[in-house]
Amino acid sequence: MSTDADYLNFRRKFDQSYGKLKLPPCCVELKPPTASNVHLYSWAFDWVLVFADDNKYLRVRESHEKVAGLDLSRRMGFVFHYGPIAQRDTDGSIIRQSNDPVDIRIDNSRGRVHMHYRAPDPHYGQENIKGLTLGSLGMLAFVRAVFQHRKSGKPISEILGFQIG
Amino acid sequence: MSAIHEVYFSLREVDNYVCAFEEKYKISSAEFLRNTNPNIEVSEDDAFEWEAFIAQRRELQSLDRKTHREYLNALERHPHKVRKDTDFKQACFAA
Repeated sequence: MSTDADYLNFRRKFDQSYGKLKLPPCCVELKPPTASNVHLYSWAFDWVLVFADDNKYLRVRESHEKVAGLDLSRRMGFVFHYGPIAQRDTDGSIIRQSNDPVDIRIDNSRGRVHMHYRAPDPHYGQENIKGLTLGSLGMLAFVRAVFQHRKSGKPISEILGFQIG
Repeated sequence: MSAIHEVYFSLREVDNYVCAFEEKYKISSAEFLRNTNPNIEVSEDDAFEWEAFIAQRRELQSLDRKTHREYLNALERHPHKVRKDTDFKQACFAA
């Protein structure tokens, strides 16, 4: 699992990358980059982008915790999701069910890192993925890959450099 | 200024979120973390949030204990000063 020294380091690196990131014209932030309950070595992060032209969304979430006995934090949980919006709540927030269609989703729910690709099932574990270490993928690399996929039409698998087998 | 918005929840709010998950799935957080019951299927998004709130609660409880410990230490080091402050606050409340 990837590590960041602490929240200040995470924030500085995020801001540097965010400053260089160009959102596509049809893309709006439904939820801006948000960190909750920030302490030096623990925080949760959430960011939701919506693509108005085809009703898809991208959501990246991470939770970071302190490494016991060390002045270091590490990413414990993460969810990187891109796919169609199936349902919205009355306040406009996105409601997701586990059987909703998905373009790509990488997460480590219940401690097992896996990928959903072009369908909610099956869950591809790392043993089925060649060319990409799922647990090492950064959220901004995921976001940039989705932007590139949308712009070029290339499959995300080609952009991220993985094969399922 | 950072692009990241920061939001904070109190220990009580975080505790309420954790309890809401426990009620929804009818299992304790300890059982959820042990993941021993194959009949309980927690959705991936709920699992992520539940785990994050449990971690946040642990952090807030730890801070709570640390603050309380430091207060007690200050009380031992400067008992008269703390007592005077407390007397003053009580007098203000009474007024």
